[in-house]
Amino acid sequence: MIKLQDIYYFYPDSTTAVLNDISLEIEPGEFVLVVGESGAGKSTLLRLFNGLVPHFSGGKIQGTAVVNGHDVIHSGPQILSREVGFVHQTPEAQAVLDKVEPEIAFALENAGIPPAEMRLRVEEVLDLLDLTPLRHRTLVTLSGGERQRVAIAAALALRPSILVLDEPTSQLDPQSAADVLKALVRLNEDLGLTIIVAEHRLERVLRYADRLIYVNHGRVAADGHPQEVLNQLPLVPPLIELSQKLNWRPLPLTIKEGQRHARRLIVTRQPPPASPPRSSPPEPLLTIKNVGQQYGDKVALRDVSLSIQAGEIVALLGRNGAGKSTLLRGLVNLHPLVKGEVRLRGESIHGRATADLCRTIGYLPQNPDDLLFAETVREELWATLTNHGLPLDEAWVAELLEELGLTAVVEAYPRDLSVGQRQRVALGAIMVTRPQVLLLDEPTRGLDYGAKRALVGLWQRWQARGMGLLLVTHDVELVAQVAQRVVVLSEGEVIAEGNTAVVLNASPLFAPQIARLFPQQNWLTIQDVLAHI
Amino acid sequence: MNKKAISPTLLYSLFITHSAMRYDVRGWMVWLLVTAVLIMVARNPLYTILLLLAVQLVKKRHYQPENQAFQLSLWRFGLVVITLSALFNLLMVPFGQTVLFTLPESWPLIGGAKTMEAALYGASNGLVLVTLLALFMAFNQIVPVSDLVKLMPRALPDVGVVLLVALTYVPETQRHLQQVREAQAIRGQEIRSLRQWRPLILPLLIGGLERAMSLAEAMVARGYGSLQTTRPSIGLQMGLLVGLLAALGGWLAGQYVGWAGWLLLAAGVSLVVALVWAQGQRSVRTVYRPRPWRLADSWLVLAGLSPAVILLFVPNLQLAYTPYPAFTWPPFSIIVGLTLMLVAAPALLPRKL
Repeated sequence: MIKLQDIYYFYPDSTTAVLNDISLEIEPGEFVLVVGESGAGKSTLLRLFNGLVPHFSGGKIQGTAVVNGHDVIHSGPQILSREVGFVHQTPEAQAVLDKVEPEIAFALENAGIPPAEMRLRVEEVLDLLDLTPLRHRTLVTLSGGERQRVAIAAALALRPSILVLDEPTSQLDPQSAADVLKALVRLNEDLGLTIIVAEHRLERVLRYADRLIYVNHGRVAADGHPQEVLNQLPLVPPLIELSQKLNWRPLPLTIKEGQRHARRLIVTRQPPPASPPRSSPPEPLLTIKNVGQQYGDKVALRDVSLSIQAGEIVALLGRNGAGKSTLLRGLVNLHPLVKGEVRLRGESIHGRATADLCRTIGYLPQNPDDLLFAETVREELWATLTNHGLPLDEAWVAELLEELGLTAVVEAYPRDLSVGQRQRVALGAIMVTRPQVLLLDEPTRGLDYGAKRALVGLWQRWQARGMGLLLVTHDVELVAQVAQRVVVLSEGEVIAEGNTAVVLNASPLFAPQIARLFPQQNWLTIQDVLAHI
Repeated sequence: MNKKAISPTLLYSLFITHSAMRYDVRGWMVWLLVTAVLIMVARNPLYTILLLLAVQLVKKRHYQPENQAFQLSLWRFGLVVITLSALFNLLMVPFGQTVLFTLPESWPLIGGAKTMEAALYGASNGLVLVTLLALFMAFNQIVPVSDLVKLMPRALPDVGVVLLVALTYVPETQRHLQQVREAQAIRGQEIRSLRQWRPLILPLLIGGLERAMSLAEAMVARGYGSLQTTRPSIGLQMGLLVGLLAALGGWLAGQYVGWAGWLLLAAGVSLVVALVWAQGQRSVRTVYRPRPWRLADSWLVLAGLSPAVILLFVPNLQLAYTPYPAFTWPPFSIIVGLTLMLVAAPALLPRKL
């Protein structure tokens, strides 16, 4: 049981309260979902439950916080580690040791549990999280989802009664995320563990939660049953948004509940999508023909062909390790393709250096922070121009920054900005050379709905100007919203290619929420639905 | 008994029971320390090369492919270090009789006669550095991080956090470096001179710091140091300080006054070790799957100690060599050579127990 009363918290050397008058109580066995924009104070709140705030982070705190009878402000995280298990977003960054079993036993060793009991407890959590087949593996050989389950097991080894997770699925593909969430639900339902989880991708977690807490500017802006709180959130998943627009009561939280309402809608059956007038297709902007890639003996890409037209957004889907990033890196010659041909406006780009290529084919890698090093946002854009030996066109830089919504922070230190802003600075550093093609590797990972929406707006504007975009992502809702065509990769091969609606509707795994709500139709977005009823 | 049956394998099986377990990490520590001391003491390039070979042999036999260790091409790195070290010594050290060329005396620091001896001495120092690095790389590839953690001083959990972060830092940073290099290449950055270090180093350092912070946070959240309910007492802190000072003073004094100084050094070190051990006994940290000390571990310790012990009995032992004042071939004693090859003795032990 957790009880917070009138909590104010300031990070060291900061005069703005990150937690601003927070009072709440969490009963044993609740499954609590904490939502809010990046920087709203979610992570800080979660870290208060196990004493990392203020004991690890420093800073000033006021008010009282009691967890299972321990006063958080007086007893630190070491004592609370027996009451609260903690898991954070990057599985790589929280592994202390290199193998599964020692990693799980680490907390037990620290607690001085006798060896015989320790063996028993390690067995227990291995079973709880289905990790027995992996018990002797080295962590680096595991997938993201498996590693995240190891992290949960390690957090549970001390048998805490509360498990706190800070965006545990934000770095995972949909399948791994589903595995992790299933494990959480089981822990909650079978063992009565209290689960507190922060997450941006509401559509993943919403149906499991008993309670939703909306944190905004360090305050609890809304708290209660998900169906009540959802109406106060500015941005919600498509299912909820549609339900609100059509005034479905009670608000459906799962696709199953939603379908009941959907079936009652009298819909004009949509004629099969008229094939677009095929007046001689223009020459593609980027043509990829039969490319292959190999690392040692491992074939990473096999005869992959696809093309991108000017003014088109193509989405590239597939599991982790399917070869999506490999393809992008091959296209800009970071790892030269061993086979096949790539043409840009009909001209082969074979053998051109990465730096030279990236002037026309912009590429945004997964971690935007790797790009950023300058003192200010504006210098970050200038640096790219200098590298390429291009003139410092101040008017253009100002215009681009304006478009990116960064005008207010041009003089700021890029790393002080929010995740969404940093992503846009990195995008600016790529776009400043006016590339014709833009390759994006999971650009919305870890972003909240607002930051995502800002990115989508940008892409659509660039698309209208005739750019071609290739978008690698796991986020099918995003694909449904922006892509005209979809290509699906599996084990280095193209297994599906075509019109977004056709490809996404063909596979239940990739279908976005709206498509699942109306399985008989060819709809992907809320606009599609509203246009037909 | 059939004559064919008396094979080395059979001999092993007399002493060693088979199971898929690793050697005790303390055995490897002994090997590491003895070898490191030998490398630093036997300043004779012929011996150094022997030691380098011995270390490589042990690594080849015992490395664990799944250990995520620090990877580096020893050849390329070795060539660079030896060349740089030779050049530096050639330019800076005015001793030696075989003059290769002369720089004008008016040049500050590097003016004067440049000798072959200086270059050779520099190169052999470079070789020692490379051999030490090879030793640590081998140790890193043989011993998994989870075993090393058990060696951490239990009395000082803060030191433990720092050590663990440092251990995982290098391989992680290496991986991250590749990512940053690619990210900068995309922006048209080609790292040609040191002036352009910023785009590479800054993201790398900050990424490393963030990783270190979250690792430390993860350790604290999982109760690391939780059994340390009281802070180390003033007595302990003073004791540690006195011990360290005695050790330092003894080391300095040892250079000039001989055995009295070394005695003080030994006393200081013993005091520190004893205090840390005693404090460690008060912590009740337990070990997952504690493994008993096995006969094979004793063999490893014995193998590790053997070169040092045997060297004590070699008459007229001469390990060090300098090419000054005039170059002569480094002396080579067969007995010393054979003894130093004992550093490779662990390579004779089976890969897994």
